[in-house]
Amino acid sequence: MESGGMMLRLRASEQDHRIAQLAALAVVIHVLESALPSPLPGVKPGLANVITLAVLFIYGLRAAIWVSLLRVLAGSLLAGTFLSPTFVLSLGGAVSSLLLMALLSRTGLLLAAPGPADWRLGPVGVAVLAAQAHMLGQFALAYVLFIPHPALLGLLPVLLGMALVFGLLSGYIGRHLLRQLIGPDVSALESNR
Amino acid sequence: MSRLDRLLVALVGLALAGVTVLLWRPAQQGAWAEVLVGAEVVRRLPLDHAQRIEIGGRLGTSVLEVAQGRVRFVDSPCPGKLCVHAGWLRHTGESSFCLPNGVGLRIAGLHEVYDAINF
Repeated sequence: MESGGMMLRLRASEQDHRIAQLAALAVVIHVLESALPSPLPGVKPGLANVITLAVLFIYGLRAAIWVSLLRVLAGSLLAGTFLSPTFVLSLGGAVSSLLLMALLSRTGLLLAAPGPADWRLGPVGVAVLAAQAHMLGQFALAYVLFIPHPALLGLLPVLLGMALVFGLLSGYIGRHLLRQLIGPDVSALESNR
Repeated sequence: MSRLDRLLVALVGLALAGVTVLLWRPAQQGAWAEVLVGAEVVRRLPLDHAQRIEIGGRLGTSVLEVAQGRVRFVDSPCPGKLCVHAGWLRHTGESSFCLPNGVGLRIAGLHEVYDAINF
């Protein structure tokens, strides 16, 4: 049999490169952030999600899922937490917020979809909701898998409060980033994907 | 921010207030202090009854004081006095131990809380 006749050629589109670059950027932010001391267990600003947010608005849901999951995978490999409880919680949070973004995207609630801008969600709204989904998913997972004790519920108000603060922060940074990348009118995006 | 953004952020804030009212438990005032010698609980001191007691340990006598719903080590025959410097204990889950003397103090109550959670 003649070998070498078949060659699989993967053609990476310009968008593939873009997504890989942005995922790499998210990984860097993720790793830098995990080096910072945390005031409370389970509380992190989660600024890498600013990248996911921007990707969601510019390239759409599929790309956002890729960037987010690549970030969790590569970030855990670099931090040495792959398959550890930290990784499980990180993945759980990412999947929860992606599910929420999928819901918003499919129902056409994102500002990037056509329609009256007043009743669409911009980056700040999406970031706040995604942060809550992230924290709730993570909390549910931690409760079921690691510490199934009612006393853990007492932490929930604090954790969700931090999620609100950091969600707003990520949202405003994301909005600023989107303005830099595509100009002030986020709603002019519908033709871009 | 669009109108929907503002509406949803406000809703999240409201939900957070609701969750806080439902779930937030302030630190629980303890009901009594358990005195340990070694691993054994040798006495239970009600925190609403002021008193000063002496407990014999490996090295000598540790002096404990209960006052105003709280308890502390007043003195202990140890070099570091970490137990004394721990100061007053008041909430369930708080503890102070004089390891050299083998005497410990732990606040108990109806609602136990964690002293630490680690991920």
